[in-house]
Amino acid sequence: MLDSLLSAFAQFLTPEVLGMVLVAIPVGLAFGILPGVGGLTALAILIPFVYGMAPLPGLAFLLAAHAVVYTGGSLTAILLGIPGAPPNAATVLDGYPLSRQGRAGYAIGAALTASALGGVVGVVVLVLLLPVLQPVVEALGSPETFFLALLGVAFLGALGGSQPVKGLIAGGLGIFLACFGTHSISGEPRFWLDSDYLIDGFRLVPLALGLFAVPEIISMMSTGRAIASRTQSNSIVRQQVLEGVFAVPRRSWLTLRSSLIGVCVGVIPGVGGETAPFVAYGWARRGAANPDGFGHGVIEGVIAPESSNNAKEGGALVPTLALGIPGSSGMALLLGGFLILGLEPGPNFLQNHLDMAFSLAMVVAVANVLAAILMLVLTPKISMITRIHGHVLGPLLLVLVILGAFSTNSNEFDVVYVFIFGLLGYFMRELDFSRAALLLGFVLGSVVETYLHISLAAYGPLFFLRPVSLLILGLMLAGIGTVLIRRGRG
Amino acid sequence: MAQLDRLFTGFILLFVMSFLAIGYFYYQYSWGVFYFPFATGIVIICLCIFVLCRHRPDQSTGRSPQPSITAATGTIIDTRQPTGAWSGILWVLASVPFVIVFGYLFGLALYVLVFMRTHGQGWALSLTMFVGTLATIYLVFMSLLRVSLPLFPHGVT
Repeated sequence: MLDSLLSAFAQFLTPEVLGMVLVAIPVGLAFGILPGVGGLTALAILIPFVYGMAPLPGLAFLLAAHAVVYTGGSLTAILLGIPGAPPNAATVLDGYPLSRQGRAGYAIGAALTASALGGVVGVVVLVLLLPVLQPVVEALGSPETFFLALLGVAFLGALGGSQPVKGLIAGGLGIFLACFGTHSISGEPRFWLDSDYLIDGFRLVPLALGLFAVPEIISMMSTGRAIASRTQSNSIVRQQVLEGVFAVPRRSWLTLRSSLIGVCVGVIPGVGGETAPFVAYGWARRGAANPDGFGHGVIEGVIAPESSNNAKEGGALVPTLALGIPGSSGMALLLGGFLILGLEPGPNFLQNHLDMAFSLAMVVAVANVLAAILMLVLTPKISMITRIHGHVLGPLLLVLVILGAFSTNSNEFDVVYVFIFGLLGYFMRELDFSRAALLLGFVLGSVVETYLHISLAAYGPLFFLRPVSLLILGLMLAGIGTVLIRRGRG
Repeated sequence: MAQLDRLFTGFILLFVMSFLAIGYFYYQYSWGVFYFPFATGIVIICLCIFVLCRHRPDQSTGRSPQPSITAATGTIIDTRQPTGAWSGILWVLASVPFVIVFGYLFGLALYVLVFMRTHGQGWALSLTMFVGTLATIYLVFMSLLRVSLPLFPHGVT
């Protein structure tokens, strides 16, 4: 193993690999910042560019770009209330209120530092787990995946807003909307109303853009107000950024715990990275002295999802490299990159290319840190966007949203549904229904259904009696119950 | 706001019930296909009924009903939005005819120009944003990302 690590260092510290990482970082950040154009789109667009490259530089390029997308996405989540990618929706909950209070620099400093540290923790765990991974991943079966997916939705629904019942309605509605379209098990289209568009169900990007972007644009256009109710000079913004940077090590246990949640969720194939930031957010809120402060601009509500967001990438690499099973949808695309470059992840890959696996881990760690440093330097300039008059920023954002929605599938119905979900999101925001819970329910709806079906088929109705399943179920009930009881007493 | 809350919860209830009815009576799905949305729908319906039943006229359910106190500074910050955003909703929807009539490239740029001018922005800034929007759409989305944006009015090839 030591030989592999040394070889990995040697391979990583070559001009080709470092050059690819440096090129990929701004590309990934740009994709993350553009609403609607997230990590999956970035990978899909960039994969053709690696044809003909050597394996490690090519993979370093793809992985570095993908790893930093969520760092870029956190910026729009905080500054504009628009998640750059669905996992960034958890950051909106407290990041955007901080921005509106004129403390965008504080939130961004904390988010970027948490992202960098979370990415490093994810990589460290990856490196430690890789050689011993197979039995760990194989111990997690369909019941555990089912409960984990449900855990994410239930946590966010019950804990992510001020009214748990409304949050659970939102999460349930998200799962219900995910039932539209072709049934993944039988292939029969459901609730499609004889519409070709709905055979494939609702799309994630129009839903996310509509729920989060359109309500903010409506507010900007109707009031004309800038995002920040108080404007700050660049020097104060720089001060805020530093304050945010130091806020993370002062909450080291929160950062570490959230990162570990990200890694654990990322390791489980099929659940996807979207759950991790919400579970981390829910746990942070549950353990906070003032849980009702969450959602109104509490820095812990930014640190928790951001550190888990980047840590999960290291976790998602684990089953991808070790078993050839993608740990997330992004990793599924990355597998395509592996095959293009003539490599086949799996147990043999670790036996024959363990040094390359370690090099890729280094790529993720370094990319996260460099991206955070780059964005920290640019933050005072970028945060000026919160001072732009709403009547200027609103229409420009709407243009980006429309184009972002159209560009996913070149389908005009995607734009139509952005408006429909936008109205839904507007009223949800005004009436305190959790939009993040709906989004997460939508993302995980098919996972929940599929793994429920598999669990019932494989283990019967008592599938939940497996030890790890009982543990996850217990954690879910304990976490939700604790907060509900505290609220009831309050 | 409380009435709007009841209406919205009722809308969700009706939406779910309608599609469950469509699935059962119109499409006549088999149990294997229908059990999961049915179970999810029942949970949503029960939760909605709970919210509707417990709704009291004096309960405020608007977003941030009170000014929030930031944990970091202890300062009371009013994060409430004013009500009456119908103009914003109508202007968002107004982008649709621009796209239908002028296509995505010119339609969206023109929309930005018209919106800014009708909301008190000067010609210099409005025209700058118009040109900037055109350039961004063409260079970033059409050239770099190779998105096939319909350039012409809807129905014209």
